[in-house]
Amino acid sequence: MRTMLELDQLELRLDEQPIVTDLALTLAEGDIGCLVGPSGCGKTTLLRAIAGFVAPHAGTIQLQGETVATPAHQLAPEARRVGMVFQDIALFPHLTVAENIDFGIRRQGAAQRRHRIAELLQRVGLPQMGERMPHELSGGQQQRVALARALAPRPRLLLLDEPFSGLDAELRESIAREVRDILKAEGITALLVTHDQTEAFATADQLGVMKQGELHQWDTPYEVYHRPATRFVADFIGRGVLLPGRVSGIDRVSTVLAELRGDLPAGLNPGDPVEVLIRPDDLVHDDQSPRQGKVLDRSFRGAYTLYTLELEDGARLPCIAPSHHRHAYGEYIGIHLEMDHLVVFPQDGEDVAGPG
Amino acid sequence: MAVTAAPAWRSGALVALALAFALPLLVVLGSWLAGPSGNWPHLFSTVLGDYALNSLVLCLLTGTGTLVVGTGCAWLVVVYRFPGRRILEWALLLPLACPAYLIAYTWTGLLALEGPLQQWAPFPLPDIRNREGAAMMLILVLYPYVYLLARQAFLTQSGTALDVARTLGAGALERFTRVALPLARPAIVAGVALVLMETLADYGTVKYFGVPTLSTGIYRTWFGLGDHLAAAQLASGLLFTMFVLLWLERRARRHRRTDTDQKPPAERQPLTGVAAPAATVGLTLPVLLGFVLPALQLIAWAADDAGHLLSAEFLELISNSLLIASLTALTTLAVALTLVSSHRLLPTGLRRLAMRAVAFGYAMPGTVLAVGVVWVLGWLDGGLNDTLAGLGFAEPGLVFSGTLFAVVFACSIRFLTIPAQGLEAGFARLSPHMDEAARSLGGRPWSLFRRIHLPLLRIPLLTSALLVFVDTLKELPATLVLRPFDTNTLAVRAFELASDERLADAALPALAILLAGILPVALLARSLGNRDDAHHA
Amino acid sequence: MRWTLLTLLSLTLLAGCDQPGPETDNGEAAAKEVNVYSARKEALIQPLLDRFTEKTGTEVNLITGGADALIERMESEGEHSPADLLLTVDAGRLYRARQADLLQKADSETLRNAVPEQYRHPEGYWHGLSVRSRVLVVAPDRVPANAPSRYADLADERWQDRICIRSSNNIYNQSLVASLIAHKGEEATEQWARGLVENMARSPQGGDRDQILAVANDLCDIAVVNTYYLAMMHNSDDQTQREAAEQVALRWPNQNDRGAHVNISGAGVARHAPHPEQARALLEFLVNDESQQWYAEVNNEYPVKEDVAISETLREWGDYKADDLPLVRLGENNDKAVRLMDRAGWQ
Repeated sequence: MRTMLELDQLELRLDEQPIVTDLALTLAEGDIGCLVGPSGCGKTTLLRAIAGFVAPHAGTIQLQGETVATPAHQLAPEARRVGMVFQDIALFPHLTVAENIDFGIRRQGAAQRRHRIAELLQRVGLPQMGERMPHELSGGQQQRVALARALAPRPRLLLLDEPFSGLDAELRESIAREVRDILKAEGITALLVTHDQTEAFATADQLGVMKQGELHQWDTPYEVYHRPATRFVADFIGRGVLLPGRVSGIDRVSTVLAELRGDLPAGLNPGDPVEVLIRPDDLVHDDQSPRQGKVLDRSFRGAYTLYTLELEDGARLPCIAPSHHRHAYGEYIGIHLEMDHLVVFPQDGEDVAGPG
Repeated sequence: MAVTAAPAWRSGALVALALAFALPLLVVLGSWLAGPSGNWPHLFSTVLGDYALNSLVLCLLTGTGTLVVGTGCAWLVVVYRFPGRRILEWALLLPLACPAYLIAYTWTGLLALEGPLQQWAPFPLPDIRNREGAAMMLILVLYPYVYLLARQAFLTQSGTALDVARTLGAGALERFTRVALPLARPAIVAGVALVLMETLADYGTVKYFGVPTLSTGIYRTWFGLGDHLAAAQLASGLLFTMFVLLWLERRARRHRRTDTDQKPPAERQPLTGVAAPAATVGLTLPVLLGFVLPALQLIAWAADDAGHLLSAEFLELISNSLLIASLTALTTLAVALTLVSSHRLLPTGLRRLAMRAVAFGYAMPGTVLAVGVVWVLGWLDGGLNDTLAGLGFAEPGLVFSGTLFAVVFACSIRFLTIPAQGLEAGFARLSPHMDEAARSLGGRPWSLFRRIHLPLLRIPLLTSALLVFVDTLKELPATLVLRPFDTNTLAVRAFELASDERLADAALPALAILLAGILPVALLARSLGNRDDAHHA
Repeated sequence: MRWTLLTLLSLTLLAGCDQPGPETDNGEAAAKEVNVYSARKEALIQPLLDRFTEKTGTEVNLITGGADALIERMESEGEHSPADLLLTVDAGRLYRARQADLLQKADSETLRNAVPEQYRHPEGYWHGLSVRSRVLVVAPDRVPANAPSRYADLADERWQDRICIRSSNNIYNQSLVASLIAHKGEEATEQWARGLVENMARSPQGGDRDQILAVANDLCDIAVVNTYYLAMMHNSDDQTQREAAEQVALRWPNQNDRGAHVNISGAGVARHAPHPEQARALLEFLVNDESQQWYAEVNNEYPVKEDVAISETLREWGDYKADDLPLVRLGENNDKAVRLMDRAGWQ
């Protein structure tokens, strides 16, 4: 697959403050990339740099092999053919829905434009809304119009900055899926930033996690979830705890629950103290198991119940159990570990260990 | 309104207030009750066509000119970085301090065959004393109205809207014409409307340049033919034109909203290559032509007189001018706030009408307005004296006529539309959801106004107040006719001397008007210079 | 609410502002003041008023303004008007004030002796204070010595595109036309006006000085102006003005028949004057030799009073024959004149 976007050694600054440092990533044509990270991590600035609103302090931005930005030279945003959906939607309030969508394709023929507008309205599920004014639409509808508007000129790359943050939580995931379907149907390459991992998992082919201007990991959502590159990624993505343990062999770690086998990061010697990432789905409820944990808390989630258990040594672990298994507070329940991927970090707090 | 029914007395008081300030409109419209004047056939067959044509062309030229200059300058200053931008940003307001008749006199002097410029110019300079020249003069001093309001609108516009346009492939010009301009439209229209009204009411410039317009026609009909009726009816034609224009504009953007989320505007982009010096030169031109050159000419004329600048008499001129100007600014602000906010909070047909009605004082030639005020105050005084005499008290004489009250009242009627329009445009940019949010939080209209609107409208309030202040400084005909004994202002003094063709003697008070105008203009610029202020407002 | 209060407060303050007037002062003080509504610019009257105060101890309160507006103000103030004396710079407005019943008779021997009959109202409602004539100014090198010699000549087609004159909005042009109507009738005057419009070198613009400058700068050959403008240019501080005045020549019109058209500045005592005695005293003061000479010296006008010394410039121009048409007729014919100029297309 051809590469659409390639960032290399990118450094961005605002008012001389470094916002993004030494960032590299590639996004293949047709893929949907997603950057997550806490607010202030520089992800919006990164999008604005790709769109052309922020000039790089160092490094390059390439689109389809064409260098569009270096510290010395930047292609103007209007010449990049990079669409962007902004966090605040920003529909033009003085234009109708159709006129908003029409904005970027004014140079095309009238019939072609009409067709494109109708097609997009259909695609975003607002076929009859062309003559409405933006303020007459709901938030979700406005979001879709903003998407249609950005898609209309068929940009090479579409950037979406926290596109769902203005929507209520229930809508978010469904709209995120819908957006993914629309993007896929349009065959468009997109890069989306969010602080919400649900959205990220719902849309991304490639997922990146950023913290304080650094990209900690750039991989498939599965890999990011199951093989987090850093303690921060492990902590930020998915629910989980770090259970103390000790290296007991080249490929094994002993913990209070069990001895676990898997690839260890390089540089660890037997006897070294480590921490092991335990996801709720790694811990299986098993009434037969001799290992037991005391129910500290439980939270009913419909299909399953999420328990917080306390082990003998005081360690607390999350555990998912089918919701028809009902246990009271203080009750001891059996558990056992069923891990596909062993994720281990050295205990000295180094944040650079990775899966083998 | 189902939510809160306004107490009847409050509506009544508002209507009374609006009525008082709609006085000129009423007097003028009332003139038709007496039936058409017998002079109409004469006017129709002779001069009316010229009056109307000249006024129309003047409005077209001045309107277009100020639109282009004002909006263009505002756009460049807000969006780009180029050498001198920070100075030009406020210097562009300077011509505001110059009364139109003064700039007409000084430019005539500058361009005269024996004048300073012709000595340097290798070609014959154009004659400006014609209709097009009058339009030029008016553009030079009136464009700041459009500039000011447009700049404010551009500054508070959502920067994201422009970014969106860029990502959709819109180049610089397209972003301006297709996004920024339409979004700033209410403010720009308000600015151009002020300009058109000033143009229609202008008397000094067109008279000096010998261009017969509706405004000089009204004078001529009134005083030359001695026909009050025809004059008032002519004036009503003028007001009607304004009314139709404003109504058409409102209709055109009936369903279109222009309020945007107020996100910080995009970074100013540096201009590169020849564009940067070109912008600097281009933006210096209006300042140069509308302020610097006339001011230099005035300084040259006034050089001999400079000693009088600190004389007691001159200081009195200045303090009178400042007093009248500040009181008028305060009055118009208070009245406009009352009317506009009550209209926003509890819109009713009556209040809407009141809003429209008060706007027309601006389009009235000053003397006509002054005479209207003279009539009404005379009538009030007469009534007061008769009533008191009837009750057996001593007659108090003239309580209203010939006092500062009369002057401030007339100036307030004349300039009320500035804060009214400014505040309306300001309100238009506040999302109605905000009102609803505040109301739903249990805010009563008054507390909503005080706690939400007033702080958010700080900038338009200040802008309007300073505009009224500067305008009143320049105001002439009403002050001239209505002032108390021995009360002179700078404008009165400058005009008396200039109209007596003693330009050199008029130069000193004229310069003082410019100087007195610079201070508020600088304040204006300073208060608006802060971008943070602007988009938090 | 703060704003409203503030406004109310300031309005009350303003309304209560003390103004000089009969009712606000006690009787004694009232006897020592006089209120003047003047269409004459402050600079051209204040020094005389100061002199009056100096001599008589009577305070003079002054407002200046356009005559029409002042008349409207007096009319609306009615019987409470503080105005004692109305000063205008043309006869037409005095006529109009009389028509509106705003003046009262002020008859005294001093006034009768000082002001010749044609320069005052027959019954003494107003009196002229100074005289100015509307004359021709020509470029001597481009205009023969013997023509034009009359106002009537201005309509002669030999002056096609060679005449400069200001707008018909100007009261002095209106008065000139009104006088022509009185002499020649409306029809002949309209013919004349049409001819004049044909002969204009440019559409009317600027003031009288601008017409003189235009002649000096070859833009036209003949201009119609008031005498004092030319005289003041001769005496100007500004070199270009002096030079322009030197380049042109004054020509007295109609010297072989009725004489040059003249107008006056004048004054009348207000109908409801609170201080009629002081007003008359001031009027008499304004026509005494000293005041009359001041007009002539400072503003280069001709005194109404005979045998008063005139300025050097005026002396150089020599004696002239003035039209002795009673000036009341200018006022009577004013609206006819305006209508006629409208019809003739005189802008």
